[in-house]
Amino acid sequence: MISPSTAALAISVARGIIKFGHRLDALVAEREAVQGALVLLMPEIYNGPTALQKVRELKEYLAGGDGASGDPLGDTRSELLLELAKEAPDGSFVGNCYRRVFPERLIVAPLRPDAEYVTELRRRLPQFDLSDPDLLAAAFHISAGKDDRELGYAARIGLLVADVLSEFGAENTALLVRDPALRGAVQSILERFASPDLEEFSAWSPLLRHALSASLNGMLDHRGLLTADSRWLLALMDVLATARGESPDGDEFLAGLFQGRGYPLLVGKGLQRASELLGEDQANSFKQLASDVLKHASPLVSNSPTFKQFFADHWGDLLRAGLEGMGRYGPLLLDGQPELLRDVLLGMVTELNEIPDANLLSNETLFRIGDAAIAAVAAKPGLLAAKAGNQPWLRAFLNSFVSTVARDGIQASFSRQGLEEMVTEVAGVFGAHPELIIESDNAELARTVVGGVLNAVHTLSSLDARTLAAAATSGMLQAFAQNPSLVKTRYATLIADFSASLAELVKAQTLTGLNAAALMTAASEAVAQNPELFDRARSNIATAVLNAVVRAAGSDEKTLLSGAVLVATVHEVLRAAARSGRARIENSTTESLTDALTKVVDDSLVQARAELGTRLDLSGVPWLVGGLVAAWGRGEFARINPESAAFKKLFGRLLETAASA
Amino acid sequence: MKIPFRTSRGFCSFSTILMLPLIAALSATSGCATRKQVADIVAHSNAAMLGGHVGLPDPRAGAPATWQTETARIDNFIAAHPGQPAIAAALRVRQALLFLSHGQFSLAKGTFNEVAESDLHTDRDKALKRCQQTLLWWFANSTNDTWSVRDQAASREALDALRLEQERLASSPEIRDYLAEMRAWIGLATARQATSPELARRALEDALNVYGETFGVDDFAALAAGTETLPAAASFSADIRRQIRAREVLNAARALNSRENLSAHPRADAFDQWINR
Repeated sequence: MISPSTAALAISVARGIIKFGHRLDALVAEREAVQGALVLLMPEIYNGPTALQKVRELKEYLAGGDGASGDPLGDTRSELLLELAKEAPDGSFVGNCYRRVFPERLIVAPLRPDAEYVTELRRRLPQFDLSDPDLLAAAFHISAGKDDRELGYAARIGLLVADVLSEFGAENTALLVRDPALRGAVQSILERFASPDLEEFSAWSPLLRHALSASLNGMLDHRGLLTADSRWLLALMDVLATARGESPDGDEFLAGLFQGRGYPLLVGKGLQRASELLGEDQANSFKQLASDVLKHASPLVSNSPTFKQFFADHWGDLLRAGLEGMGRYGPLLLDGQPELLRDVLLGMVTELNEIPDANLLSNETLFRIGDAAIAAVAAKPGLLAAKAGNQPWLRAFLNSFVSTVARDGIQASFSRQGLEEMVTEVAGVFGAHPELIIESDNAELARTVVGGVLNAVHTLSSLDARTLAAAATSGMLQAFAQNPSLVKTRYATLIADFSASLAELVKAQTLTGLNAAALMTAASEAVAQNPELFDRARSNIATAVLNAVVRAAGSDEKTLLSGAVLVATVHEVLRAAARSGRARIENSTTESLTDALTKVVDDSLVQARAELGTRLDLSGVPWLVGGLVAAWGRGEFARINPESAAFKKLFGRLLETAASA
Repeated sequence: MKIPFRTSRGFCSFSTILMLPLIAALSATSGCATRKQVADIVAHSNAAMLGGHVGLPDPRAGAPATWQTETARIDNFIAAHPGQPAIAAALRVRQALLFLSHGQFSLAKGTFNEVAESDLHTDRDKALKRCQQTLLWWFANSTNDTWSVRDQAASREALDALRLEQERLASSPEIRDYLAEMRAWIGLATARQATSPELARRALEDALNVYGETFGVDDFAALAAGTETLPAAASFSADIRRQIRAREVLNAARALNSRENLSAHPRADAFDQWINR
């Protein structure tokens, strides 16, 4: 006796087999029609007189008679005479005349390429019996050739089997999964997987997308199965389930969100951090925020294939930034102005859709930019409505990063990754110090900081350029972070100019890239320590110091200043100029200051050489030169006079200090 | 995925398992009807294509496959199986060629026009669809003793179109060879229709130069050696067909070159020697 459940199973199996048989039949029939051999023949071909022959014979004909009555040419005789006199007579006219004069000569057996082919086959391949129709047809078979579909018939038959099994599995999930809680999820996945006929897929990509979408949607339908402590994940699943229902692209939109690069980062980093950082009660706020972002983006994604991929890759980064903002500015953003965080993220979605090269931003870069934007808006909500130049503040802010990464002209020196690392660092500093960008005029500070340096060093080799640019941007950012008022000074320009001078020296092989980077750091510090002097001076003091020391080092036959000693000397002279040089240097031009400093450094080196090995060693040279430059800056002497009592006293004191240092 | 059919858990009785092959056999018997119909269409249409040509009047004793019966069979099948564009498009191309080879040019044109290239998937069928204008013109006019102005324009378009296809079809040599040979014949016909020796020479050289691009080193070597023995082939290969069929093209080119004193010299040495010997 067969039990009802067994009978149901038997019916289900039979139904599956019958369905399989029909669909397999249809698929194999298609293969037969599409890939079946086709006999192709060549038509018979005219083999009578050629046009040249016709011309010759008609000329002979015309030369042999005078067109008496009975001439088949009639009135066209004279016209034909004229035509045949041409270099290339009209073939159609000549042919028609020929047919009238020599119709019998056109009755010639045509060329029959296929008949000749069969004759030749019979002669050369006598082992084949070409009287057999199938064998003869085989001699004319033209195979179907390449199929333009990625999935061949063998693969599609495999898919058909998978499809039928999925349908069977969906109908009989109880047999496959014992756990009643999971059964619904598995059934849902299998039903979705088998819903279109899988063998209809002709390429892997849509098939894989379908499989992913089916799995994830099935899980979403049964997201209650997720463990209860995954509150944040549940919130995200709820949001995604809503987005799927509300998006015009439905499952397609959802599959894109899951496939993007940002999703694993959101789940792996963002939600984990949220569970550590935020209270459980804030999960609902996150749900609302995420839901708003996806809802806002959905029509944009639907209208633009380019933005579709971008958003798939980056929605997770925006939400991560949102979670970070909730953690850091929650009370301010959510209690005081609950819409603010949402508005920043929606504004970013809108603006990123408008910026053509936004896809150049990496996940980490966009996350940090988002974080910085939220931080700035939290500090000054009015920014969202502010303008920077003629564009919204947020667009200008985002664009300053995108355009920096997209600098095509300097790709030879910087990889995209290198540029990204630099702008990511900038975004990180802005996030930690939003006061740097809360003035709408500073929206493009990222471009100012990085762009100027990149322009200055782009002629160097890749390694030197990266080393120097990293030192310059890092130095500038540290200075800005310590003293935000520097943003309003010439600081960035001065550092960029200094970078350019260093780049020239590296290119001329006067300095190594590493030495240049060390000098860059020293100059950044010196300028940051004395912003007013450097900002107000007519010259670029740092550049003048660098040029002076390098020039003096070049004219020094003993080459006291090279490598680390040269770097240390520039550092000491910069410090001396910054601390003590106001009177001498404030109104000097860069050229005159360079000349004056060169003389002082030259003279100092002469004195230092005389003392080397007695009261001074090489490590004391930078300090000694710096001390003499400081004295010169204070006005203690105009030129070094070794015989002067005052100089001797000063020099002796400096040597004693150098020896004890 | 494994489907358990174990009786120990009461999923399925042994007798049910015994029934499954029977069910499967029944479904398989009833389920391959479409494939059989299509297989018959392919076999009979190929036979009908040859019927009346190359000295084989009746390809299938007892059930002569004529172009009329076979084109009707295709129509009936497509009408009975709607919603299968890949099958329908491939069969329509076959039907159009069947019409063409039996001089039914208007029917061939109408049939070609029913096919969307996007429903075709193989190099052969797509190339035939793309070349439908050329095929229609050449099959209808290949035996004309004189070309009208329209024929002259059509021949130029055909030569251009077929050259493009020849370049496209590198990975499908059989259809490439078929269209390349067709181009060679059209090129020779163009030379035969030229009324100045210079134009005739150029047309002849162009025909053989482009045709020669489909030949490999072995093909040229076989032609140059003029060997009377072909490889001991167990079946007709594309290489054997290319080498044998080239001889007829080259013989026709040699006849034209010598009769009209054209002094044509195609780039391939083997071709050059052949038509000037």
